[in-house]
Amino acid sequence: MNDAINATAEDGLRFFGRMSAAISHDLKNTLSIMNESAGLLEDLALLAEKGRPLDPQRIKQLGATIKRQIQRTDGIVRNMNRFAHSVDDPVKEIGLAASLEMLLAICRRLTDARGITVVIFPCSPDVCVETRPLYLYHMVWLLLEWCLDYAGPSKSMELRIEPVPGSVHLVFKGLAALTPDACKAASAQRRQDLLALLGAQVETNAGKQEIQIILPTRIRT
Amino acid sequence: MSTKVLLVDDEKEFLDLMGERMTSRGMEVNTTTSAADAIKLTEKQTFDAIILDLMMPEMDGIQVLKTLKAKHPELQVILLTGHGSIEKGVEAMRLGAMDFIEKPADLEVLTEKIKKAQARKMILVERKLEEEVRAILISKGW
Repeated sequence: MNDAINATAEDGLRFFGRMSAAISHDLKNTLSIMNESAGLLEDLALLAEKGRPLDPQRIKQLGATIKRQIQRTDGIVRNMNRFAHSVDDPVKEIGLAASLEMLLAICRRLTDARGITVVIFPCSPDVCVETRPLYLYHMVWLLLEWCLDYAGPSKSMELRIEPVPGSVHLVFKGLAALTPDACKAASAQRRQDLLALLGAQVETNAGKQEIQIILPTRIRT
Repeated sequence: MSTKVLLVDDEKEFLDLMGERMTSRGMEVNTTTSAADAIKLTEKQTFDAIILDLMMPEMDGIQVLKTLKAKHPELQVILLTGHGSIEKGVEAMRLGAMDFIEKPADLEVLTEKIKKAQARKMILVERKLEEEVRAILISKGW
């Protein structure tokens, strides 16, 4: 039993590390753009010193680029902070749509690397669930990663948040390449440890080209 | 003759800025955000150096590097990596990359590496030409 708990925790840590690495890549990219903008400003200043007229429009453009990248960096750091705090309490109430939007933003580099666009359809108003945030994010990521293989030729899929009394359905739709055999294989590979910790279930439906997590709104601890 | 460089990265703004700075330093720069386009471009043109981002959508930098080196062994590829560690860079060099540089890159350091790449490519091309001439001389019996 202890071994199983340790394995789940270790795997959770691995997931946390992978997401942190994805965040650091995004930060490196915004830093690179700011670095090149600053470098170009220096180049233009050097040329101006040598007598080439300085184009104010170009300076404005570079200022706007830097501002845009600062805003982008701020968004990345905000997500990083929120993700880091997901391990503060083992069980916590979270806004589901806002949390999953944060997770998808962190994963975007990884989903883009597969050429797949994931669009989230939140419910309004956002639904609050009491759950184990890190395990939920891990479960959603595992399922999302699995779904990437079945996105079909449109290379796009949806994540819909559908509240029902007592639970919420997180539905991955648009899995055009999903087959009954793949659904059967998915059942065999299902992460029962995570599902048990979340009190959740996973259902696949090849006919409707979807897979869903049924998550209780309040976890039984 | 100016140094011909191909810059490959999925960040368009980064390409535009880096491209402009390299051009102002006398380099002839082509840019693309697509790994597939980069492979196509190397079929049509020759480059002294290819600056390639390790993390690209659809095909990562390591895959692109393998494809490029398989088709054109003389190509000099410098990888740009957002990894904080050197493992990926070492792996890339084992697969034939000439060098790697961590993001955000220092353009002066990168320019030095590009110069080395150009020199190394010239040696490889000259060696290849010599071998071709030698093969012709042997086969024709002159």
